[in-house]
Amino acid sequence: MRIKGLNNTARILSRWAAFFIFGAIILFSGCARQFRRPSPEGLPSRVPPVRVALDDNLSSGTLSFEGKYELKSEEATYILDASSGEFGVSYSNQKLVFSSSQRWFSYTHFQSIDFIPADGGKFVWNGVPYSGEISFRKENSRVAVVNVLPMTDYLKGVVPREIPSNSEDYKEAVKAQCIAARTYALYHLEHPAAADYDVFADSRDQVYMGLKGHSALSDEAVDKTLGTILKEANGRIVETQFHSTCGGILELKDDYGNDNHTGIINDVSGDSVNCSASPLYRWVEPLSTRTILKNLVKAGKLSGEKAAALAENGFEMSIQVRSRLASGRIKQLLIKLNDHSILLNEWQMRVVLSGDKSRILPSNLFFLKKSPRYTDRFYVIGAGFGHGRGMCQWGAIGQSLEGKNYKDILSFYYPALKLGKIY
Amino acid sequence: MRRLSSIGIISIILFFIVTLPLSGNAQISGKLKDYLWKKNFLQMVRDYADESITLTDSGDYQKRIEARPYVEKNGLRVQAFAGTNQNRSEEVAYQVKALGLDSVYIDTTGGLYKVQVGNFIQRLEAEKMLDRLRFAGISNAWIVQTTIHVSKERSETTPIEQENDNDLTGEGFFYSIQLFVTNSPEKAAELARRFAGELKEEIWYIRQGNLWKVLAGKYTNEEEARNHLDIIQKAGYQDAWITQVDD
Repeated sequence: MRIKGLNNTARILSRWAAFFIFGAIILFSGCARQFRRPSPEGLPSRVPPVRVALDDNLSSGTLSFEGKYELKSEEATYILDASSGEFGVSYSNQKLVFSSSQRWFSYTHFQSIDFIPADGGKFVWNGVPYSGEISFRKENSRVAVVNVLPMTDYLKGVVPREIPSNSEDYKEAVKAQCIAARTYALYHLEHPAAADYDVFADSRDQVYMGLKGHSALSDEAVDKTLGTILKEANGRIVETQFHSTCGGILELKDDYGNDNHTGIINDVSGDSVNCSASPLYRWVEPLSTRTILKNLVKAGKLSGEKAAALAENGFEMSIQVRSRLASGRIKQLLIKLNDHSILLNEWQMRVVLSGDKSRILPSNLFFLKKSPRYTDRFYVIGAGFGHGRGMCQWGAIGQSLEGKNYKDILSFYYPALKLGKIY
Repeated sequence: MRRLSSIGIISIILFFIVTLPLSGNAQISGKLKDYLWKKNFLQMVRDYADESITLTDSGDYQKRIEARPYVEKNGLRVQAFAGTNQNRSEEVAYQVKALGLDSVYIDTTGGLYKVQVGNFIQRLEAEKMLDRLRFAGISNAWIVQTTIHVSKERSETTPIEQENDNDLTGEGFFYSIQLFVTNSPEKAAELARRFAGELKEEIWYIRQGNLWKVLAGKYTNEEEARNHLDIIQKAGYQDAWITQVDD
C-alpha cells in the first residue's frame, strides 16, 4: 500500500516534473528569444523592428548619447554615454571615423558598426534625438546611417510629421494616419528600400524625425490603434499611399499602371471635398527664366557652362505641357532653350519649376500663365500638395472636423481595403 | 462672348497676382486666396491654361549695355600717345587729366597703349581738343576715328554727322600728315606748291567742311605715318601731325 502509494506518488511527481520541465522549456525558450532581440515594452514579441535610413550616403554628421549605449567590437565592448562627448562622424576614402574630445574610433574594414541602447536611453544624430539603435552599415562604397527601433516608436516619430496633431478635433484623422502609416511601413518591411534598411526618413517614404515634435495626441493614437492595419480582402498588405492635399482632385489608380495603388479612387466631387483647410489647397508660384535655368542645373538637366552662356548672351525659353493625366495633373513637360529640349517627368518638373524659396513645387496639378508685364516671367497656378494618390491628409482632417471617425475616413480614401489586426 | 469672359476672369487673377505679396512657399493670401479658393480648378485649367508659353531673356550682356549711361557709336577722339610703353602711356594720361579733362581713356587694343581724349561726334569739336592739347605741349596728338561713348540723351538728340558716318567704318580711309589748315583755298594751293618743293612726300590739299587742309603723303597704317612724321618734323615742320582722311 505504502509501496503502491509510493509508486503512485512517484508517478504523480514524475508527471508533474515532466509538466514543469516542458513548461520551463517553453518559458525559457520565449525568454531566450526576447533576450536576443528585446521587444518594445508592452507589445507582443512579434512586432517587427523598423530599419530607417537617416542618411543613405554618409559623408559627415554629429553623434552623442543620452543614457548608456554599447559599442561592441572584436577587442572590447565600449560603454558610451553623455560623458563621452559629441562625436564628429565622417566617412571618406573607405574610412569611418568617430571622434570626440574623449574617444576616437576608426574603421576601415567593416560591414556594420552598431550602437545598442543598454538602458533605454537615446542618441542625438545631427541635433535630432532618437530612441533605439543607431547603426552605420556599409554597402559597396556607401555608408547608410540606420535607426533600428520598434514599429510603435517609429510611428510615434512619423505621425506628427505627416499630419497636424495639435488639436483634439483632428483625433480621428490622426488615427487614420496611424493605420495608413503602419500599413505602409509593414509593406516596406516586406519590400525594403535597400538590403540594410526598410524605409527612408524623408518624403521618399514617410517623414520621420525621431523624438522631435512628439505629440500626446499622436502617441495616444498610435497606442489605441495598436496592430491595426489595412489590407486587401485576400489578406495582402499593400502600399497605402497618402499625401498632404489633393486640391479637390484625387488621382486615378490606373494612370500610373501600378498595381500597388489598390484602393485609390478618383474623387468626382470637384472642389467640394474638405481639404480646402489646407494652406496649399490653391497656390501660385511666380517664376523667371533665370530660376528655371538655375533649377535645371541643380536637377542635372543642363550643364553649368551652358546655363552661364545662355544667361550671358540671352535666350528664348518655351515651356509646353506635353500631356496631362485624366485627373488634370501634368505627366510630361517640355522645356526648350534655344535649340536644346528637355523633357521632364512629374517629379522632375516639380523640382525644375520650384521657386527660389521653395524646395519643390507643391504638386504637378497646375497651369501656366505668362506675366502681362515681363517677357521673362510667368506664373504657375496650382492646386494641392503631393501626388494625389491615396489618403488626402487635409481631407482626412476635414472629415474629422465633420465628426467622421477613422473607419469612415479610411473607407472613403481606401474603399477596396479592409481594416484588420496583425498583432 | 465666352472668350471675352475668360479673358476678363484671368485678368482679374493676374491683377491679384502682380499686386499682392506672395509668401516664399507658393502660399497665397488676401483677395487672391479668396478668389482662387472658390474656383473649380479643372474648369480653370480648361478655360485659362497656357499649355505652351514662350519667354525671352535678353541676357546679362544686353542688360549691362542697357544699364550704361551711354551708348557706343563710331566717332572721333584725339590720340595723345600710342606706343608699347605702358608707363609712358600712363604718364601722358595723367598729364592730360591734369588739364581738367575727364574723358581720358587708355585703349590697349592692337597691342599698343593708346591715350585717347574725348568723345566727338563732329570733327570740329575734335579739332578744338587737338588744338588745346597741342597748346598744352602735347605736340604729337592727332585725331583718330574709333568707338566713342555718347550719352543716351545726346545720342537721341544729336545725329552723327553724315560726313563721319562714311569714314567711321574703320575702312575706306588712310593716314596722312597735316601740315597746315586754312579757310582759303588759294592759300592752301600756294602752300602745297611750296611744301612740294621742300619735302619728298606727296603734297596735296583737300576741303573738309569750311577748312582746307594741306597734307603730306598717304599711308595705309599709323606706324608708317609716324615714321614719316618724324622725318617731316626734323625737316622743320614741328607742328605737323597725323590725321585720317577719307579714301
